[in-house]
Amino acid sequence: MFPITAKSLTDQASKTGFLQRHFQSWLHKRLPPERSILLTSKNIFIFPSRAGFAFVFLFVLLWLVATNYENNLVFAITFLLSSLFIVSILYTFGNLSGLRISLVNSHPVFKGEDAGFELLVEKQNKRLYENIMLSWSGNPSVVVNLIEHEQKRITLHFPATRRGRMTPGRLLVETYYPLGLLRAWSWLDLDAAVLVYPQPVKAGPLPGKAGNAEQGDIVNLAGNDDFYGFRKYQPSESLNHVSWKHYAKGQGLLSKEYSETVMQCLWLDWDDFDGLGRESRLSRLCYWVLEAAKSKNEYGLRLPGIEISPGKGEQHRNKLLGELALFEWEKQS
Amino acid sequence: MSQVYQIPRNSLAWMLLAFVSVIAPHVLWLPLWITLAAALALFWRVQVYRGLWRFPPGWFKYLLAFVSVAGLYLGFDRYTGLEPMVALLIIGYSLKLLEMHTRRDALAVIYLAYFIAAAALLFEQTIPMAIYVTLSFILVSTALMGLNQSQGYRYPLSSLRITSKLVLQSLPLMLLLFLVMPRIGPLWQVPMQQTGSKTGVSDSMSPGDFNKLGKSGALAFRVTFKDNIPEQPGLYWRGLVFSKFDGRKWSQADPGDYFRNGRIVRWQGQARQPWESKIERRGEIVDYDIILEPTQQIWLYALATPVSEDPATGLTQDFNLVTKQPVQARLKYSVRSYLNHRTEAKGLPWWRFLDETQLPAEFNPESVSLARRWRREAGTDEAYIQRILTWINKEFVYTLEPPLLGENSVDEFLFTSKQGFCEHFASSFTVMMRAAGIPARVVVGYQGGELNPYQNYLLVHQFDAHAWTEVWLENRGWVRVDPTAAVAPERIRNGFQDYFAQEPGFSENTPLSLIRFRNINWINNFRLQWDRVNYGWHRWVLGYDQSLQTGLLTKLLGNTDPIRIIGVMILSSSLILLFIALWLLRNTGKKAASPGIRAYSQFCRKLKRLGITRETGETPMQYSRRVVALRPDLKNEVQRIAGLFEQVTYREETLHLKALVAAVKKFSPRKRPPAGI
Repeated sequence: MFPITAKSLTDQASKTGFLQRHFQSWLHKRLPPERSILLTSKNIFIFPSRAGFAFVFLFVLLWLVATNYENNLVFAITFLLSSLFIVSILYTFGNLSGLRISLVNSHPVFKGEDAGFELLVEKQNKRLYENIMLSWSGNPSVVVNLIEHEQKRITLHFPATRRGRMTPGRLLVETYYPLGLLRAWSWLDLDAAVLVYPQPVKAGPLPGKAGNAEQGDIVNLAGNDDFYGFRKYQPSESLNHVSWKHYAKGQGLLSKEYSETVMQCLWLDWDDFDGLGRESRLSRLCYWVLEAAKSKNEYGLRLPGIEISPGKGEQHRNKLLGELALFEWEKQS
Repeated sequence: MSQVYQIPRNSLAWMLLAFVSVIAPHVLWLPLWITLAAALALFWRVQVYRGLWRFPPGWFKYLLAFVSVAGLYLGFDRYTGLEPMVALLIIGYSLKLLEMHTRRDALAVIYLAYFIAAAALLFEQTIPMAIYVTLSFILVSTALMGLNQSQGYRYPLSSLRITSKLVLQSLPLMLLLFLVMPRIGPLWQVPMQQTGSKTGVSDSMSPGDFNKLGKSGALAFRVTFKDNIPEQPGLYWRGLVFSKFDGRKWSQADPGDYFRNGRIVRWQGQARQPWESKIERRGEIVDYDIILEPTQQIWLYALATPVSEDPATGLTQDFNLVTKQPVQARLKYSVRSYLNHRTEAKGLPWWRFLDETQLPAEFNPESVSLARRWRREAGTDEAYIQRILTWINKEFVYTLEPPLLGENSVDEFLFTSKQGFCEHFASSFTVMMRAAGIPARVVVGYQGGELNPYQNYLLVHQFDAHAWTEVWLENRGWVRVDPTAAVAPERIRNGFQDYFAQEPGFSENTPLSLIRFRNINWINNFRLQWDRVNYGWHRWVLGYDQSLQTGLLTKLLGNTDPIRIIGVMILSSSLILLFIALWLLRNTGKKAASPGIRAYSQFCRKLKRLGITRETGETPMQYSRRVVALRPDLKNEVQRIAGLFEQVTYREETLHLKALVAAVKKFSPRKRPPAGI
C-alpha cells in the first residue's frame, strides 16, 4: 500500500500566524515535497548548537587569559580551539550532505495507533555517516549510522490522533556529529501521508443476513477444499498453502486460497446506529467491517450519500475502511 | 516516557583518560592533598565505570570537597595567585567527575578539561610541554566526540583517529590566526605565578656563593647580536654593583645617599636625571637582544654601558639595567651598549668617595697593612694595581673547589689558602684597593658565553657567573680590573667551559645537563642543535609580539593596512577551508558497490571460469536456472547463493550478508562435472 500524497500540507498553515505562514511557504518553495530527497548544500541548514556557543565562550575566556598573561602558547591553544570549531562546520555539514532519504512505505492505521513510515536512508558515496537523527517534528528520533552499511531502512512512527488523511509533516533530519558544536539539519517534505481509519469500537453482533442466499456468492473460507485463487502470503499463514511453483518461478510467495460456497451478504449501515454522533457511528461501523472481514460473508457499506456494494477480500475491506476514514473527515473537530 | 540519559561509555573512557593527562602536568606544583583527592575521585569514577561501585554518597563528596579546600588553604599562602585559581578549577573538575549524570554535566567536565589543559601552558612553555598539551587536547576532543556518537564503542580508536585528523586540519588555520590576530596587550592586572626559587646571581656575595653557580650548567640567558659578536674577553655582562662590605659579605650600597643625585632608577619614559650626564658614551656601538631565563629578580644583564629603549626597563645610578617586575617568565629585551665610555670621570662627590672606600674596622688587618705599604712603595695607583695583579698571577691558584674561609676571609685567602674562585679574587682585590684609598667596588654578572655555531648566538650559562672589580681612577672614571684574568687568563680568553670542563665539579649541580658531555662530539652537536631549536621557539613563538607581527606583516603584505590584512586573512582562510572541504567531500557521487554485490560478482567470475558467463540483463534467478541446467551437480550451492543474494539486495536482510560472503568464498566448482551424473 502506497502512502497517499498530501498536497494540502501548507493549507494547515493558514491557521497559524503570518510569520509562520511566510516561513512555511518559503520552506515549501525551498524544500518542495518529493518522495526521495538528496541532501545537499541547497537544503542543509547549519548553526552552532548550545554546546557550540558554550565552546565559543570557552575560547573567549582563554583568549582573555592569553591576552592578560601575554602568553603566546595560550593564544595558540585559543586559536586551535577556534579553528577546530570552524573546521568542524565542514565535518558536520559533510555528515548530512550526500545522504539520500526516501519514503518507501507507510501503512494505514486505526486512530489511536502509531502510524509507521518506512524510510530508506542511503549514502551516495564511500564516506562514513554517524549519528544522523531522524524524527517527525515533536516525536522521538531514531538514530542512523551508515558505517558498515550503504543504506538502512528504518520505521519512524507518528501517533495517529485524527481520523482521515494524516500527514506527519516535515521530516527533521539532524546531526551534531562530530563534536556537537554545530547542528546541521534539514526539514524534508517527503510527501508522507497515511490513512487513519476510525478507532474501532465494539458494536454488538453483525446485522442480520440481508442478502439473497441463492445468488451463490463465493465466500473465502480458509481450510476448505475448493481451490479459489492466489493471494499474497501472510507471515502467519501455514506453509502448506504456499504455492512453491510460483516461488520457483521467482514470483514471490503466494498462498493458495480455498473456498466453500456460502451464500451470505451483509449491509453495514450508517442508520443502524441512530442517535449516535458521527465519530461514534464510524467507529462502530469500522468494528463491523473488521468483524465482517473475519467472517465468510460478503458485505457492503451504506453511508449518507455513499453506497458500496457488497464484496469481500482484503481490497474490499480496505476500500470500506478508507471510506470510513475519509467520511467528512475535514469536518471533525 | 522520559528516557534516562546515559553518557556514552566510550566518551566516558576517553574522559577518564583525558582527566589523567590534563592533571598530570599540574601535579608538580599542586599541594599533595589536592592531587590525592583528584586521584581518589578518578579511582572511584573508574570503579563506577567498571560497574563495581556505585556513585559515592553525598557525605563522601562533601569530605572530598573539604579535603581539597583544606589542601588549597594549607598549600598556598595567598589566594589570589595563579596557582590557587587553577587548583580550585582542578578541585571542581575532580568533584564534577563524581557528579556527572547528564549530557550537560559531561560537557562541563570536558570544557573544564580544555581549560585546565591550556592552563598548564601558563606554568611551562617548553616545546615538549606544547606538544604534550596538544596531545591532551586530542584526548579531550575525543571525549567530546564520543558524546556525539551512538556506536562509538564499536570503533573506539576511529574516534581518536578522526579527532586527530580534525586537530591536524585545524593547525593551518590556527597558524594563520596566530600570525595575524592582533595582540592588544593585557586588559587588566592578573595574578602571576607565585615566586619560584631565585636563580642566578643573587643580591649579595659571600665566599662560596659563586661556587654553586659554577657547578650549574643551567642556562642564564641567550644573546643575539645585530652585527658582530665582540671578542670573548670583552664580554662582561654587568648585573649588580656591590659597594658595601661587612668583612665577609658584599652587598649593594644603601640607597639613602644616592637620592642626592636624583632618582636612583630612571625608568624608560621618565625625564633624564642629572647623574646621567656623568656617562660619556662614544665610539663603538653594539646592538643585541637578550632572552633572559626567569630569575625572580629585577636586574638585567648588559655590557657596559647600556641603553635600552624597552618599556618597563630602567637605568640605575651605577649604570645597570633593571626591570619593574621580577623576571618570572623568560624576558626578551634589546640593548645598545657603548663599549667605549667613561663614567664619573670628572670626580666623585665626597660621600661617594667614602662609600667606595669603606671597609669594616678591625677586619682583615694583615691585608690592610700590606695594601698601605705597597701603595706607598708603588707611587701611582696604576703601578700599585699592576703589582697586586702580578702577585696574584704568580702565587695564587684559580679553582672550582676552594677551601672554606673563616672570619677574616680576605686575610686567610691572601696569606694562607691562596686558592679561590672569582669571588675570592674580586673581593680581596677590592679590599686591597680600598685599603690603599682607591675607590673600588665589586661587580657581579656573567663573563663570556658559548657561541652556538648553528645560529650565531651566545649561550650564557650559570657557570659563566663572574665577579670582578671596578676601580675609580682620576680622569678615567670607573675602570674594570679583573683579578681572575690575572690568575687564569685562559678562563677569560676561552671561557669557563674550556677551563673547567675536565674538573669533576663541572656542571655537578645539573647532572642532567648535556653540557657535561661536551667532549662527546655528537652529544654536544645535539645539545647545540636542540638549543638552537629552543632559541627559535623562544624568539619566534613565545616572543612573537606586536612588533614582530608588524614586521612580518609589513614584509609579507607591504603594509599593515587593516583592510588589507582582513582581506588577506579571509582569502587565505577560505583557501584552507576549501582544501579541507575538498578532501572531506572528495568522493561524493561515486557510489561504491555494496558488499553483497561485490560477493555476487565474485561468484559470477568463478562461474565465468567454467564457461558460463552471465549475460547482460539476465536476472540472478534466470542466471542460476541456466547454470543449474548446465551443471546440475552445482544445483544446491548455486541456488543457495542466488537465494541469499536475493535476500541481501532486495530485502536488505543484512543478516544474510555474512552467509552470502562465506558461501561465495567456499564456492569452488570443479572444471568438469564429476562422472556419473
